[in-house]
Amino acid sequence: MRYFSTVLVLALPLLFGCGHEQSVAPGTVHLKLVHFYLDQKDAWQHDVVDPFMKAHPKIDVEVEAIPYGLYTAKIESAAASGSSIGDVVVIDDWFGQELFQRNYTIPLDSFFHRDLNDSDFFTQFFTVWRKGNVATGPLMAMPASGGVTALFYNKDLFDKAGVKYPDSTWTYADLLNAARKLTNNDADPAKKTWGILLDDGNFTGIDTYIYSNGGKILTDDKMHSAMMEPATLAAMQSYVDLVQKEHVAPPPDPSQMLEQQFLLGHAGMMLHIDYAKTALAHATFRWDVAAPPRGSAGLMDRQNGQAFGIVRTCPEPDSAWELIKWIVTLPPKRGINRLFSSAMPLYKPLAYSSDFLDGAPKCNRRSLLDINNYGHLFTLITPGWQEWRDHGFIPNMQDMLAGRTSVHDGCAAIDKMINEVLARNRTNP
Amino acid sequence: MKSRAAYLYLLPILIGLTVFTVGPVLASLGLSFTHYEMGEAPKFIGIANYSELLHSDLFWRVVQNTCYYVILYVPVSIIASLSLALLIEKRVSGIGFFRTVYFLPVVTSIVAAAIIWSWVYNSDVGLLNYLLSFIGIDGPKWLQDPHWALPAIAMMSVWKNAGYNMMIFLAGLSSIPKDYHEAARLDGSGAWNRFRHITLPLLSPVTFFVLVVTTIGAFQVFEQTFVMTNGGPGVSTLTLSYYIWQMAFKFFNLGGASAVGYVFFVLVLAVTALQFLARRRWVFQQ
Repeated sequence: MRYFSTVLVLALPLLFGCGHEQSVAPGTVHLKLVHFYLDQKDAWQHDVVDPFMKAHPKIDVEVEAIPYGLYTAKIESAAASGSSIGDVVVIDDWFGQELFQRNYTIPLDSFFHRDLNDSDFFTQFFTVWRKGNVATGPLMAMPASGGVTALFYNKDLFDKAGVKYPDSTWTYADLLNAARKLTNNDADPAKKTWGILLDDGNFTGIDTYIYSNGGKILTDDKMHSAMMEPATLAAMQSYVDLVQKEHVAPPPDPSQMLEQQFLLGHAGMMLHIDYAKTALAHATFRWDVAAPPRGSAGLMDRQNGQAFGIVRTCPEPDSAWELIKWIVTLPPKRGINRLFSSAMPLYKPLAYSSDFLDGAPKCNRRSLLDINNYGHLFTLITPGWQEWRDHGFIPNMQDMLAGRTSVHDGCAAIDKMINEVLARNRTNP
Repeated sequence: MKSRAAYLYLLPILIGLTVFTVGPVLASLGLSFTHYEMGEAPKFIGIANYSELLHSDLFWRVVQNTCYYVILYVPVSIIASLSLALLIEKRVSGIGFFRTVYFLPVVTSIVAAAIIWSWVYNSDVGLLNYLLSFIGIDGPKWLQDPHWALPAIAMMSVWKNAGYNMMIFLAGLSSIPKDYHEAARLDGSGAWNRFRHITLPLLSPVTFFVLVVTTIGAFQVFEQTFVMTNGGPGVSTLTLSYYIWQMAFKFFNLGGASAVGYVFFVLVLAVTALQFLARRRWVFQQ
């Protein structure tokens, strides 16, 4: 009896550890789609996967939705260890290159050119999904949605200060004038208002500011830092001046995300990637978005977004492509834009549909779509970019904005860090 | 026969310990001598990772930050825990409520607590500066000022963890025979003298345990900096655990992260060894 119980105790974990494979009919291909749109899990099932399976009876799709924070950790670990979390995966731009560098996904150029047309998509956004982040690299994931930097503004504060709302003709001089009028240095913190909130180096706005004002963070080949170029130093100085000289922006607060600070209603404007609009859906004040102002280099906006890739271990890439094609060419339908967290669809028929343009949260999405007509997109993602951003750009940017170091010294420190990391990654590719 | 059954019962935990603890510990030691970005074969590079660390200004700044946090946190945490234990040791009505209140932060999610404390520390609309304004103090920009950010995080950690050590001290206090206090009282000894000459010495083994465990825990501070400051402003709250996490799981530099991990291990080992060496000077052995 004692042995029996011992064996039972030992066997129990094994029994419970055994999973079960989902059974599929013979001849049916089984795919696993993994995404991080957890709050839209049901919509993904009903609006995407179920209709897809109905149209493709020989393809069975299992969907797994994972919370964003966990998702990034899981997919990066999977890519790193050479394992797989699914057959078709959604990828965010900021970790895409880490996956592509490890060939975690397969190139999709041949599929794309066979089945889809360039003219149906905002192809400016494709570069970031190409291996090496260059226009000539293989397309390692099919872009579905794109994000651009937007100028968020608090309509209540604009009205109160009697300032005209921003539009696509705005320059940075207009922004500064508006910020001065919107700033109210009331001694009571509850009544104090700032003209604008500034990104402290997270690349949610500062990148667009620097490039639009003629500066560059990286050289065009992304092999070296361009932080010490005179135009970059000038752009950085004007950015820091908004805090230190003009006093129209508060010093950085690393404890609060920018959109959280904007939600408090004490700032007139915020330069931020347009995904922040979902966070502002429940704001207690009226707000809207406009395209970022134009600088001496016009409007330069950093491209970002989300794409779908086929994991290289997928046994049925053709079926996986059918699913991806289905996802990225979804027909306009009420509420469909919420599938991508309200980001701009890169499929033009969907982007120009009333479903996207009038979708919630309601704001001037047309102004952001129009950036495709006159703006230029750039990317900053390099191997090791998070290291030079987190250990170089952000801490030194915070020090510069808070006046703890000069722009020259701060940029020199960033320059050193970027070059060190890029050199190390070239030596150990 | 009996011992065979015992080993069989132990087998699952031994397997778990080997696979999930001993194995990774040894593997990371090996990895610390390699250039290893996950998914690719590790390349042996000797002591290059360690050499790079020793020449990195950022690494030494991180070590400095971590030690500063430990120095700030550990004494305050122990004093606060002991004070709370002494207070709630009293058998007065409603003391159960206070015990619960003081222990509540321990069972609160550290992430939720850190987010709430971010707002408490907010320099414009935060509760702390609002309260300070009543006594005429213009509070600092807690998490925005590099001089205040780490002390602010340490203060929050004291609030979060004091209840845990309080329970340990409470157990220690209850084990001190009442006779000693009675005798001292009869001899005319005051409360302070009884505390200093009876409670503290007899509690010293417990205090030693709390000191060692709290110090090791303090070196491992991670969630607070992760949630509240992301290592900023500047790098003023970048601590060793956070630095290791960044290197391993953000920058995929597993070789470098393993090297930092072992330097970290040596540092903690050295401090713990010092504490054990100093033990005989102040820990009362009955």
